[in-house]
Amino acid sequence: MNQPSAFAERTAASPPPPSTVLLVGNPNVGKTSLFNALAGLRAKTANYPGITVDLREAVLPVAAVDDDSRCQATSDICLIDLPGLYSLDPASPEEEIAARRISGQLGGIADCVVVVVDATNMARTLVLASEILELNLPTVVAVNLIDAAESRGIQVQTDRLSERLGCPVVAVSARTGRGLAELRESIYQVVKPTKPVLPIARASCVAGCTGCPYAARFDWADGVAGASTQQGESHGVQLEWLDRWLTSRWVGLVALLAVMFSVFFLIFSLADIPMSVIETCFGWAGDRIGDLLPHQPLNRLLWFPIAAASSLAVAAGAFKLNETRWTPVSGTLVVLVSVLIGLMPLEDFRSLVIEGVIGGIAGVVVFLPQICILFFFITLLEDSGYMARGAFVMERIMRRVGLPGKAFVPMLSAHACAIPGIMAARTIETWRDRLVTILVLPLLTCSARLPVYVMVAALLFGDSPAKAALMFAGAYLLGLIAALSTAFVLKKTVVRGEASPMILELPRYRLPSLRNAWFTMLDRAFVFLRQAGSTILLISVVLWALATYPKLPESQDYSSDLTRAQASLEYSYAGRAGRLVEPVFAPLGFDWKIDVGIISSFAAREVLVSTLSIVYGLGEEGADDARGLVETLRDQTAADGSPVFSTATCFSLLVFFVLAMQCLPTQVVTKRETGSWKWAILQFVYMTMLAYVAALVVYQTLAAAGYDQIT
Amino acid sequence: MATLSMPAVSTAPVATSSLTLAEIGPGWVRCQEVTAVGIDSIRLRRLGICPGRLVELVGRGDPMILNVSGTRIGLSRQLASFVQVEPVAGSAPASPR
Repeated sequence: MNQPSAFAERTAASPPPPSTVLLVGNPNVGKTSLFNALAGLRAKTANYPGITVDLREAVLPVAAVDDDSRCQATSDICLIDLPGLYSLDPASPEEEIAARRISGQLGGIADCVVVVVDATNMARTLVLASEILELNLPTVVAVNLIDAAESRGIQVQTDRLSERLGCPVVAVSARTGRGLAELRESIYQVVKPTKPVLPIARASCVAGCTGCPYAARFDWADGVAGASTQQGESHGVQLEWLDRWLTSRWVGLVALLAVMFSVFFLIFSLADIPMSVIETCFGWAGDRIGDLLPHQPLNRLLWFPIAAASSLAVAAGAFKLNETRWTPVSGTLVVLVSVLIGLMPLEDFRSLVIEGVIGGIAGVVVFLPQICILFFFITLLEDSGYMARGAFVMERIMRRVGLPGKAFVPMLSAHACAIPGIMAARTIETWRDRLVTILVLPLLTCSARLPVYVMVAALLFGDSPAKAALMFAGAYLLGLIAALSTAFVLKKTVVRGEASPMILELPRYRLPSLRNAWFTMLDRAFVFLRQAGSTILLISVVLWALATYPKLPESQDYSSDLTRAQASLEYSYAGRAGRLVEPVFAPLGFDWKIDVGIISSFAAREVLVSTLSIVYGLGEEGADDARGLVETLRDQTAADGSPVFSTATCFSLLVFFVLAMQCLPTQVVTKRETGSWKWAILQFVYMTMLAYVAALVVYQTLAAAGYDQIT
Repeated sequence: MATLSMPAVSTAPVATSSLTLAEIGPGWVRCQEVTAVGIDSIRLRRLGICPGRLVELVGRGDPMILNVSGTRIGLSRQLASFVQVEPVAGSAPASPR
C-alpha cells in the first residue's frame, strides 16, 4: 500500500500546490458536516491507489478576515476529510488509513491538521487532540456543535482552551455556519506562504505516565475541559426517556421496524416519478441518437474514423470516471476494440449504441432515485443519533448468526440495491464481520428483482392481489432468512469465529442537517454513477455482443422482424449457451429460452423480463405491456403439450431469482471492497448453488404434486 | 444534565474485589484492570474504559449501556467481563440516584 509516488505526482503537477489540510476527529462529532459546510459542491472523492477507502477532498480558498477586502490575502488549500477515529491506534481499516495519513506514512506530512472536537463532550473528544498535538504538526482545534452546547448551557472559553493546548481554537457550528469564517482564517494563518517554522515542540500531554497511556490522556482531557468549559443552566431538551425506550429490548425493536418501514415506504413512493422520468429520458435519448446516426451506409473512409474516435472517447471517459490507469495492455485493448467498432456494419453500430450502451446504462441508472432517497434518509437518521440505537437493538439478534449489530445499516441499504449496501459495510470495524456482511448482502431482495417478481406474480396470481402480496412478502422473507442462515453457516465454516463483541458510542440525539444529508446523497449518487459509467458499461457491451453475434446467415428469409429477432437471438452465443445449459436447468423446469434470460440477466436482474419478451417473440415493446407478455408466456407449451410456465416452474423461477447471484456489477463491487476476486467468486458459487438446490427442491416437490401441468 | 458531570475524584474505594463490569448493578464504578488483549483492549481503552477511570452503568442487559466521560456507550457483556472494577463509595456526588 505504499504509494507515495502518486502523491508526488499530484503535488508536483501544478506550480503552487495547495497546502494539504486534514480534517480529523472522533466519529459523531459532526466532522463530515463541517467538511460539507466548508467544501459544499467542491467535494470530490479522492481515490488513493492501492487503498479501498475513499477519502473526500476539496480545493478551496482560505483568507484572512480583513476589513479591507481589496488587500485580502488568500491561499488555496486541499481539505481532506479523513475517516473518523478514536485514537491513533487503529481498530478498523478506515481508521488505519486515517492514522497513516496523519502520521505522514501515506501521502506525506500535511501542512495543517484541523482536529474537530464536540463542544457538548469536550473531555472525551479532546483525547484524540492530545495524540495529534504530540505529533507537533501545525494544528487547529475546531470546537464543533457549539450551538448545541450553548443550548445545554455549556460555555466554552476558547481562549483558555487555546492557551492550554498551545494551538488556535475556533468555536464553530457546521449546522448554522457560525465560526466558519474564523476557522478559515485560522487555517490561513497556519498555511499562509510566509509561514514561520513549526511551532515549538509542545510539552507532551502525558509525560511521565507509566501506566495506561489512555487513562493519562483521559485525565488530561478532563483537566483541560474542566478549565475551559462552564456548565450553566441547561436549556436543551431532555431525551433520556426516549433513549430508554429506543434501546429497550422489545420497544426498541418495534421502533426500529417502524423506522425501517417508513424509510422504505418513502423510497418506493417518492422514487416512482423520477424513475419513470429517467426511463423516458433514456428512451428519448436513444431515439434522438438513432435519428442522428446515418441510415444509409456512408463512405467507409469517412465513417471509420468517426466511429472509432467516438468509441475511443467513450472508453477514455469511462477510464477517467473509474480512475483506471492506462497500461500498455488496457490501451491496446481499447484501441483494438475501437478499430473493430469502426469496422462494424452500420446496423450493428446502431444496435450497439442504442441497445448495448444506452439501454444497458439505463437499466441501472433507473435505480438512482431510490439510492438517492435511501442515502438521504440514512444520513438524516445517522446525524440524528438514531442509527447507533438501531445497531444496539439489532446486536442482540444479529450476534446469534455471527453478524455485528452495525450490519443492519448495510442490510437496510441492500433492500434497495446491493451495491450501496456493500459500500455501507465500511462502517463495520473488523474485517471478519465486514466480510460476512458483504457475502450475505446480495441475498436480500433488491429492487432489480421486483420486475421479475411482478412478472411471476402476474403469471401465478393475476386475478388475486392478496395472494400476489403474500407471494411478495414470502420472497422478501426468504431472502432475509437465507442471508441470516448463510451468515450462521459462514460462521461455522469459511469465516470462522464470532462477530467481534460490540463497543459502540451512542451519540447524543441532535437535529440533523438537511444540507449535510443533501451533500452526502450527491456524493453517494456520484459514486454510483461512476460505477454505472465504467464497469456497468463494459458489462452491458459484452452481454450485448453475446446476444448479437454471430449473426444469422444472410440467405434466410423471415416473415417479420419479430421472428427474425427471435431467430438471431437463438443463433447468437447467448442463445447457444442457453441451449448448452438446458440439460442443467431442465430439472428446475426451465426451458432453453428461460436459460437465455438467466444468462442475459447477469447485467441486471430485470433484464430477464425484456429478454423473455424477445425470445418468446413479443419484441422489446412487449416487455412494457405486462398483460401482453403474461398472456404470451401462459400460452407457451413444451413439445409434449404441457405448459412451459406451469405453477411449478413459476415458483422455481421465483426462488431461483430470490437466491441467485444474478448481478455482475455487484460482483465487481464485492471484489473492490474485499480486495480480491476470491470472495466475489465464493459469493457467486454459494449463491448459485443455493438457488439451484432450492429451485430444484421447489420444482420437484410441486411437480410430484402435479403442479407442473397447470398454470 | 446529570450524565454530563463526573463524580468527584476524591471518593475512596471501599474494598478491593475482583468484580467485573458484567456482574455489577447500575451505578458508578472505578475500572481497575482491563484484561482484554489485542484489538479488544484498544477498543475498550480508547473509549475511556481504562484503569483508574470512573464509569457509570446506566442500563443493564446484553449489550449494556455505560456512561463514560459523558458519552453513552453500548457494550456487550462479553467485553464487559474483561473489565475489573471496584465500587465507588457513596456513589457519585454529582450523579443522580
